[in-house]
Amino acid sequence: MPFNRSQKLHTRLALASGFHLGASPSTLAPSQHDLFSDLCQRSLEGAVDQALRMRASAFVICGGLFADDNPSLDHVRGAMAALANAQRADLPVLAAVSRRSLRTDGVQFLTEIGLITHVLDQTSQEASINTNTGQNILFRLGSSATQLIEPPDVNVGILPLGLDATVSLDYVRQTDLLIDARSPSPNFDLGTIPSNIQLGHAAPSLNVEAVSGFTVVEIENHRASKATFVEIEAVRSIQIDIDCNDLGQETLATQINRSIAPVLGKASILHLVLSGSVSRDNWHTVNPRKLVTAAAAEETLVRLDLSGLLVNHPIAAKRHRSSFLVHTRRIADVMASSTEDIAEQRAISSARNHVSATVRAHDSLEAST
Amino acid sequence: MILLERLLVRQIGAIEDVDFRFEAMGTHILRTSVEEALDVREALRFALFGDSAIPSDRRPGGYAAVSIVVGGVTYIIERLIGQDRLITTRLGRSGPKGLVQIQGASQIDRELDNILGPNITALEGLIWPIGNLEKTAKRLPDVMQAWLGTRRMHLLEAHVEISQDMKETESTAELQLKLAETLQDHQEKTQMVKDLDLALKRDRVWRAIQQVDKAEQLITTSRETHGAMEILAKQFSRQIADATRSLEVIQLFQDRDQAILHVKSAQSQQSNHEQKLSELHKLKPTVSELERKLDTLDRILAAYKRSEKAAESTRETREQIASISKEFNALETTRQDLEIARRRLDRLSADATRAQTLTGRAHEEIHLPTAVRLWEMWAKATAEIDTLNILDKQAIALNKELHNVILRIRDTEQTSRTRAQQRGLAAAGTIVGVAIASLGLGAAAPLIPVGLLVGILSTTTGLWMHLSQGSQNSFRNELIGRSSKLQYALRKIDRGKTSRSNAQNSQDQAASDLRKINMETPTSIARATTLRDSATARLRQYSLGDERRNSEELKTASDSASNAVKAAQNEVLRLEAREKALTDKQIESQRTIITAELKNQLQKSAEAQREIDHLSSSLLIRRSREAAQAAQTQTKQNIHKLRETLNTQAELELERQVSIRDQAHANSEVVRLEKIIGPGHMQRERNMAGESTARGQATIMAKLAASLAEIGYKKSLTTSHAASIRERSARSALQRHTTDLATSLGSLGVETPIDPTSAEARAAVPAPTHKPEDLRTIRASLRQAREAKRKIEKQLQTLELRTGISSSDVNSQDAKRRLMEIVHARRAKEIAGILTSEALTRTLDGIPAAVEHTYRATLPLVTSGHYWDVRLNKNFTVELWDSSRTIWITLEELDDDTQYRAECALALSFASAAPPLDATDLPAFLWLEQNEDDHDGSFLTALASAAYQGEAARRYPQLIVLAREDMALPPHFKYVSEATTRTNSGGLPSSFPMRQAG
Repeated sequence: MPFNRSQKLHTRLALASGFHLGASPSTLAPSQHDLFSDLCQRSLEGAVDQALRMRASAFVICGGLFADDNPSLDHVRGAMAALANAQRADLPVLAAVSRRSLRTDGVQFLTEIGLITHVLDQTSQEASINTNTGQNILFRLGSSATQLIEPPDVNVGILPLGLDATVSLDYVRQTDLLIDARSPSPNFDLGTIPSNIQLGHAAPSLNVEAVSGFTVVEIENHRASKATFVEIEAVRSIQIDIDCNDLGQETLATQINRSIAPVLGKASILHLVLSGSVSRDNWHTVNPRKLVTAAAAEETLVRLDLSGLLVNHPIAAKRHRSSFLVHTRRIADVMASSTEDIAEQRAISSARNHVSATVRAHDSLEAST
Repeated sequence: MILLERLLVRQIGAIEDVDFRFEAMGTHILRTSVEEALDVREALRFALFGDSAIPSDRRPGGYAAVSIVVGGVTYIIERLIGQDRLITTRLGRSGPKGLVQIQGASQIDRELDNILGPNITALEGLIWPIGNLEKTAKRLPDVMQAWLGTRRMHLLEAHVEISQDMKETESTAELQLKLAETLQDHQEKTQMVKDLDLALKRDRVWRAIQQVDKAEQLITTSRETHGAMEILAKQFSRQIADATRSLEVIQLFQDRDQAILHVKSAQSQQSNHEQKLSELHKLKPTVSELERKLDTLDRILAAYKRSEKAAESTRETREQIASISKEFNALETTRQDLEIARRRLDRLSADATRAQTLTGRAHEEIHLPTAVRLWEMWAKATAEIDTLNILDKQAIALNKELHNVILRIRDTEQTSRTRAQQRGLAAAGTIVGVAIASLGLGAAAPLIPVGLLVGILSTTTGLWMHLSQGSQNSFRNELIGRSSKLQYALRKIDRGKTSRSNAQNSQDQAASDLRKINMETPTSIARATTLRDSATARLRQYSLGDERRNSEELKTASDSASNAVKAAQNEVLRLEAREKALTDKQIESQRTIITAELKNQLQKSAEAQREIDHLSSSLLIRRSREAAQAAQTQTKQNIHKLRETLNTQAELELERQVSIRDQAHANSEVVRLEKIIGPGHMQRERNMAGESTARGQATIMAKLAASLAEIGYKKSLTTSHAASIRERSARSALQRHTTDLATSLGSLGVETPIDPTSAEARAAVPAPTHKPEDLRTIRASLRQAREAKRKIEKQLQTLELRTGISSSDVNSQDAKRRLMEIVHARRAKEIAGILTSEALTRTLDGIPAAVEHTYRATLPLVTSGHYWDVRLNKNFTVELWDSSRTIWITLEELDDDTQYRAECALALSFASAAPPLDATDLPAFLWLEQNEDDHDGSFLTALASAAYQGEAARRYPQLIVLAREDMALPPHFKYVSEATTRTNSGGLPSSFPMRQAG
């Protein structure tokens, strides 16, 4: 199928995965489920729109498009609306899915109505696509490289979910471009062109450090020249950090409300990272349940990160896991400071050193055995 | 940190052959069915723990191998179930030269103990936290030791333990040190005894020398004192003689002065007597003048007496007038009181009448509700009685009617019986008619019409009778019905009669009660109704606001009003009697007579006053009786004094003559004394004439000099005598001290003559450099030192026996150094024990807070954001904050699904946060499985999401999730790799990993 738009043997592929249309993560509050589903929809629309603006030759959907095996009609309609834009702009849309997904997912339906121009079976050995400019792009989806009929100009391998690392090594050696659909990651190094391109994740991110986006790969003169991770603007998240140690006379609830008020309804996803120490009564004034519900009503998905928040913990050290050696050191310090007897201080030091040496003696113990 | 690298399973449970490989970091999704997930877990447990976790089916040929990385070293553990169902274990460890297989079962067990530790519970609780929290938490101290490394902790325990040998060594070292110290003490005490003994002897010598010196010095001093005192006594005797002569001269001068004084005294007495005599001649005219004044004063006093008598009469008259006026006023007052009392009596009479009226009305008001009820009852009872009287009349009428009905029924029955007989005759007639007709048909034709006629007539009659009987029967039934109704009515009337007595009783009772409460008893129902309605209206008025007063209160008021009326009547009677008595006394005529008497007395008094004024002005005295009396008394006294003075004129003349004689005697005495004194002393006396104080001072000084000289004389004699005695005593003491000195020097070993001098002794014994101590102190110190020495000798012997070492072989410094080293080692162990124990306790104490912190961040993820706060106590009892109800709730109060989710999250939080940071060899992979009830995998997804972030992510870099194939993957997981039991089984090598590596 022809999808290149360049007469200079230049092809630009937009590769996206993990849309999860219709997903309702159980970690979210019930009041956020509809909003999240809506954000997934917006994510697909935004990715297609950005791919069009970047004049991509094709939009490749890696992995399933929907979260459920039997997606609801609403979600399929949402996908249709997004993909119709691509169809109107003559942007070919490819889907690399498993056979089971093809059977149960709505991808087959979208293919039948022409919104997805081609479907690549992840479980088949290979799938070749020829371009009308003489550039052949082979999507290799099997495990054995020896079954290739003819050497392609550019080999684009997609590692589907379920393949182990050993198999992936063969791909790396024999393909020009390896798309790893197994583990999406936004940590993309733009400085070098990796042989193993990680696609990122297009669904709205529920983690502070994760970014939603897709990968654009430039294929020029039969070689992949550049890979770029593109963040999806429609589901861009905002992070607000609140240090509870700096509340002053304000309650935590007041501080949070004041901090998030300007972005409510404007940001799609808001990560509220709380840190520092706060009293339990002050924490109870927040009522996060109400907060996320109110924000969802304003079309903002609020995620609270409490990993740095200390509630009713006067000692900051309690935040972390205990340490036997740290406690040993502290007790020894207290004992040493409470006496002026030199001999006693020497005994304390000797005892502490011995306890530390014994507890740390992992290597020597292992070696002795 | 233990990471899972590979798991190979064959023929365990439903699994035939499967090989899973795991990256060092990331989320691994294993697609299996629920049953296969259990088998995979069983296989992993079997591979890790061997005999302690054999698969349930124990199928021969069952095989599980696991490759784990512990601290950078790869271990491969293989477990194989043989045909005899025994377990074979093989263990390989990576080294610089590749995989090295450990040989020997004991070596393998020891190596596995080192890697995984003996406490399976502690390890399992970290790999599969779900469902293992309770047993882990119960044995938390043991688990903590396992986390920190069982072998290491045992080593630590062994190190901090203080053995018996160590205690005995320390005890021996202490004894040796004590022996050395005791020996040193003994030597010191011996030297101290010697020093003290020598010091004591030297002290004795020096004390003897000092005594000898003191005695010699005393002899010299006493001799000198004796000589000086004798000279002083002679001087004092001369001073005494001079002072005695001076005192005698002074006495003579004093006698002369006394004589001169006597001369002057006699001269002054003489001149005094002469002056008094001239004054007596001048007093005689004054006496006659005073006698005239005394007569005038007597007349004034007489006028005063008359005036007083008139005034007394006037006062009595006025008192009588006042008494009569009082009686007159009393009469007027009585008349006014009588008028007031009469008016008050009228008012009180009106009040009493009103109070009686109110009392009566109150009585009515109080009994009004009762009266209403009684009037109503009376009316009802009377109405009922009237009704019953009417019923009596009705009963009589009904009885009459019943009697008639019964008679008519009897008549009807009689008629019925007659008609029955007649119907029988008609039937017989019919039969006869038919018989005749039949006979006519058979025998004689003419009989046929007869027979028919008879039969028809009889039949007709019978039919008529029968019909008539029917109407008769219906009439009879009606009569019986009427009779029943009448009987029923009569029974009702009879029942009504029984209530008549009740009504009568009620009426009587009502009448009686009305009489009791003194209310009107009505004579008719209309009157009773009128009374009841009137009372009801009054009661309604009261209820609408009329004030009702208590009848008792009103009665009391009425009684008090009556009493007041009676009192007022008595008062009126009393006042009338008084008025009558006062009128009878004729007060006004008495008043006129007494007034005339009063005028007469007043005139007499005025005359007396005028005379008093005249005489007082003539004498120039104040116009008063007291002044006149005082002037009279004074005048009498003056006259008496003047007369007495005139009587002393003769005595004064005699005394003047005696004074002249005394003056001559005193002059002769002065001349005699001047002769005795001598002219020299007299000349000196003249030179210091007028200085009487100088003579007094000289007298005092002479007396003082005489006294002092006498005292000095006696003292000098006494001192002289004492000095001679002291000299003798000092000489004998010197002899004794010289002997002592010789003895002391002998005790020091110094050879001296029999009576050594102090100079000789000083030459033999050098003087002490410091001030010698008190002898008693030295002796006490010496005694104590000797006792201490004896005790130390005993201790020394005892210690030598206990240690088995001679005291001479012991070095104090060495013993001390050795003991310090041993004590240091023991103390270091004790402190290490304290540190270990305290640190373990604090590590355990810190777990709930750390778990709570992690749990708080995890809980919203598994409860769909329903719960955001949690409280965890030391027993891991959990309370969740329900923000909608603002209360804390326990897990048991949650619904089953939420409770399960919360418990799983707690287990995950515990596994993530509880292990201490020092525990480096703990599993770093977390194993989560999809529950049977979790059909859509939502809970597994939530739990995996919770494990994917925060403390759990730091704690577990490897997350292994066993999910069904149809479960949707959660978004945004890092490094997801998927594997299934089916797809992996085909292409994997069938050989053991051990062989590959080997």
